[in-house]
Amino acid sequence: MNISEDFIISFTGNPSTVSNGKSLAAKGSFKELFISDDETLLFGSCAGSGKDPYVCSVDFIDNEKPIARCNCPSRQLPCKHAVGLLFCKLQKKEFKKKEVPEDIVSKRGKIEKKKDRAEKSGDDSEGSEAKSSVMTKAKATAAAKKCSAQIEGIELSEKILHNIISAGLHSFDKKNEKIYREQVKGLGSYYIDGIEASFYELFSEITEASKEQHYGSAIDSVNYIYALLKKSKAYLEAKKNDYLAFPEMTTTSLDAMLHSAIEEQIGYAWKLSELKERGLFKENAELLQVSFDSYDDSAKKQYVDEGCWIELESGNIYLTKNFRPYNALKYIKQEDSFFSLLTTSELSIYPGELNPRVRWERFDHRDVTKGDLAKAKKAGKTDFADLIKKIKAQIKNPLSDKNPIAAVVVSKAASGKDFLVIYDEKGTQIVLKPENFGFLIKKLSKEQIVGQTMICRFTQDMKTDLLYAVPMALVNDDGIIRFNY
Amino acid sequence: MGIPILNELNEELKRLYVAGSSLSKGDPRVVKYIAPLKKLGEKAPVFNSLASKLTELTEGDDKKSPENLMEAGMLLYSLIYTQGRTDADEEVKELEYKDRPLSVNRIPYSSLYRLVELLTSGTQTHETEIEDLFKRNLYNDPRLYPYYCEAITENRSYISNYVAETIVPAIGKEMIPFIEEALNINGTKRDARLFKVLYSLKGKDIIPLSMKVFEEGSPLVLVEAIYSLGEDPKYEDLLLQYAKDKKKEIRQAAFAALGKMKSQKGNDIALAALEKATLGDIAEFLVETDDERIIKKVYEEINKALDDPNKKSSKLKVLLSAAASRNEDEGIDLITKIMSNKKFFSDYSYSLDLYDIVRILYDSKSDKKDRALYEISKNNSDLIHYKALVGVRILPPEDIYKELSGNFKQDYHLSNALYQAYDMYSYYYNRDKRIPDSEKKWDRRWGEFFADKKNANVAYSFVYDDDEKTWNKILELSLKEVSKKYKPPFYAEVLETALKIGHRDSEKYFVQFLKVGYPSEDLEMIKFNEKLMDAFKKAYEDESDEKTKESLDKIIKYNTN
Repeated sequence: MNISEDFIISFTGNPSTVSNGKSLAAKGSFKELFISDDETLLFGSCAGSGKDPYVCSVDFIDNEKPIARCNCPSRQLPCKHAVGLLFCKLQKKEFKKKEVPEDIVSKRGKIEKKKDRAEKSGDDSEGSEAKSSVMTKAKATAAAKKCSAQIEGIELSEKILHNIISAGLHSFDKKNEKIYREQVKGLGSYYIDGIEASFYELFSEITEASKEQHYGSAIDSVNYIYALLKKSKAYLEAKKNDYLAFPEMTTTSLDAMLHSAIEEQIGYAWKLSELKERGLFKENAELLQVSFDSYDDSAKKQYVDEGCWIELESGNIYLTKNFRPYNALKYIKQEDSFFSLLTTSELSIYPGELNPRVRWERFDHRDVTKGDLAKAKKAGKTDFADLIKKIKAQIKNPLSDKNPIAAVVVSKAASGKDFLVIYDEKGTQIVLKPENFGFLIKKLSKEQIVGQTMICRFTQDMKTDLLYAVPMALVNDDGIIRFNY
Repeated sequence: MGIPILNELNEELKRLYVAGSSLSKGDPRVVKYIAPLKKLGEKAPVFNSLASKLTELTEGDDKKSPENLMEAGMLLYSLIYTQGRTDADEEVKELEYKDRPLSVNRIPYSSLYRLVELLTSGTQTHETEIEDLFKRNLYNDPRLYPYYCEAITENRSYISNYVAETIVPAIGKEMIPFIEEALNINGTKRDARLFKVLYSLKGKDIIPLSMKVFEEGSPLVLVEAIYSLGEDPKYEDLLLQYAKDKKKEIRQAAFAALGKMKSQKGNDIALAALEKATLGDIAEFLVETDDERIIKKVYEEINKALDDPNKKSSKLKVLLSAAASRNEDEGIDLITKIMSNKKFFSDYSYSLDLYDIVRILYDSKSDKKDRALYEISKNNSDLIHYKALVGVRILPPEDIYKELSGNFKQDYHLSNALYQAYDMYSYYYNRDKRIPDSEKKWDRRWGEFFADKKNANVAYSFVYDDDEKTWNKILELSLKEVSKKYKPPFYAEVLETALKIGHRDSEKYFVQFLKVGYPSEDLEMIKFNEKLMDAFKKAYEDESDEKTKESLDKIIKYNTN
């Protein structure tokens, strides 16, 4: 049982519940506080607006997946009472030792049984999965058929895009938009949801662009779709041929599948088990969050909570993305900044380039130590020229993320009129253009900057050809200075 | 380094994307780039590829023009991205590092984002939210410091004052470089305010900056700079000079500084000035000074001026304000005696700014001044609001009920006063925080009082959870309200609370709400218990009206799943 404020925030996912729970703990609303002998269960009773106090508990029998319970009428889980219980523990209030209540013993038993059943069926399904992952002629034929359908969809998409470009973006009025939207809707049966979504994004961008007569982003989207259609067609042809070659085991499409986001860009949603099957996971990973933000992706009608993390062993920089569609806001927890060190027994890594997306199903956490910070600092690149080469290699690909994130070690810093410059030991420069809370850089001491590791998001200004970096955080010996949230 | 013609060509291709690729044939504005690109291609073949793609675009088949344009566009796009430069093209100088390391605290996104919002666009209605974040220790993060500076200078009095008077002092000296950066000594009243806050943090150390303001600052900032000189007796002569300045604000600041300095010469001048008809220059001085001669004279002058308040209003205003701001019993008793006179208050409330005096007493939050204000408000119906506000500070809840329940002409004046007096606005604006009975500080009769006045909304705010009789009245009133055309979602909350606290008839009212057409969607978020579900099922079986049956069915199904 490892309780910190970060853990409570992350476990709760609702700032107002965190605040209410904290107040309950501070006001002394808990009449009784207990902990089980094996310290896996916190439970107690809390005065509420009802006649009887609410009985709540947080069960840490599975440390990576704690369970909150309460008999209050709130629909939210964990409710403020369970959160208050955690705050009582955090505030080191006295918890008396007591046996695990019977109802919890029974609930634990049910979960255990369920797990056993799942494991059993898992064994079966692993067996069946193993069976299912054994390729047969019929399966290969079906997979090749799906590829053909996708290719057909891509060809239809090409026609739509050609029509738009031939007529010009300026001709995209309401009448044409309706026609194009109908055509794109027709792509729905070709298993290319990602391509379909890219068209909708393009339509939103053209509509926006026509108001300002500034078509830069819309043209970037055209480039993206064109490249996506071209590359996915080649990829799917190769994939189809791999299947058609069965029982020969050709793997011409495998490299693209594992090292780029092409499958996701076409529209495939990876299952974590599939990532594991393909070796895209890491055991016992330790992650330190260096930045967090939440933004509105209006084209896709969703909010995105994005975390940026350093994996301490490899020094890789990963992203987490929590998508919250407008129409499901009630049901999906909003994520928040995470200041502890997150540990997970299994980190799933999506195919990608410099900053792949990651996910985990279960996690634990602990306080960040000086040793963790030292490891995170080592993620910093000392040779800027080499790093810039890698960044250019990524961003020249129209399908790649144009804003890769990297960690760099700062040897010297300078300031210009409305920008800053950092240098490596060889004197290679990177221009910094601070955003959000980046103004803090000018308020730091020399020890807080020089020799420390800065996490930056790169961007190229197409008008000036300047490839610059937006500072996101600075990892130094005492902690992380965030220039974002 | 980037190659200029690539950017120029990019603009031309963009033009074709917008105008339509069908116009690309023979386009001279694109053709002109083919030859230079071929020349570049002699060194790097990729430019030859681009040149040939442009040739296809300008000379090829019309039908293929979209493909040709996008092919050329994609190659050009990749080329531009490989040409990015990373060097600054302007002169730079080494970064000026700060001497002290900056502490970085850990406020999570959810709170930080909200605080920035409140600091940049919050209004008075958000005062409790800011206070709440401060009390939860979610304020000390350097990422917020510039926003604090902005809030101080904004004309949103509550938030500005709270930041200047509570948050910034709690942060302390770490704010100094941020305020110094935000401060323009040539600026306006807003900068004068920033200077004042900076002075509160730096104390005597601000004097070098004050001297700079004397040389090149704006008159508004100068006023604050003059006041800061009161920190050092060596500026006494300078302040005495400023005490004769043409501008009133400067004279006032100089006198206030002399008062702070305990300047004997200043005291002598002020004592002589007390004889004059106008005292504006020494208003602040009279609050600061501890010279007994002056204090005695202030009270003498008040008594003298009372002979003819109309003629001496300007002087009397300053004297009363000084007496209310100071803490001598003699002064407070005098103020109480004068302002308790109903006729005097109504005759001179505007000419003597008596409401300002009331505010000074109220803001000081001292027991003596609270009692004085309560006494004043007892005799003056115009101040009944203050009677409630200070009453809760000094009287038990049952006495407040007795004193106020029959006194207000309008119920909403009374409910407003009670909301403010019991600090309930956060609750009022943030309904998910219902105050438990054990924390309700008001007399339990208020709930019934408002229910009898047919005000379900306010009665709901004040009713104790275990006051079943009043709850019956509230639920009955609510049912009447929702039977009307407009059915506010507020009443779903009343029902939900009734259910939570275990009111015995809550299930009955749920069903009745639906029967009178209350939207089932508004009730869907309420967590059903078994008893409620049974009540609904029974109602469903007994119901004959199809529309009601449908609503009942909908909500049963919603809660069964």
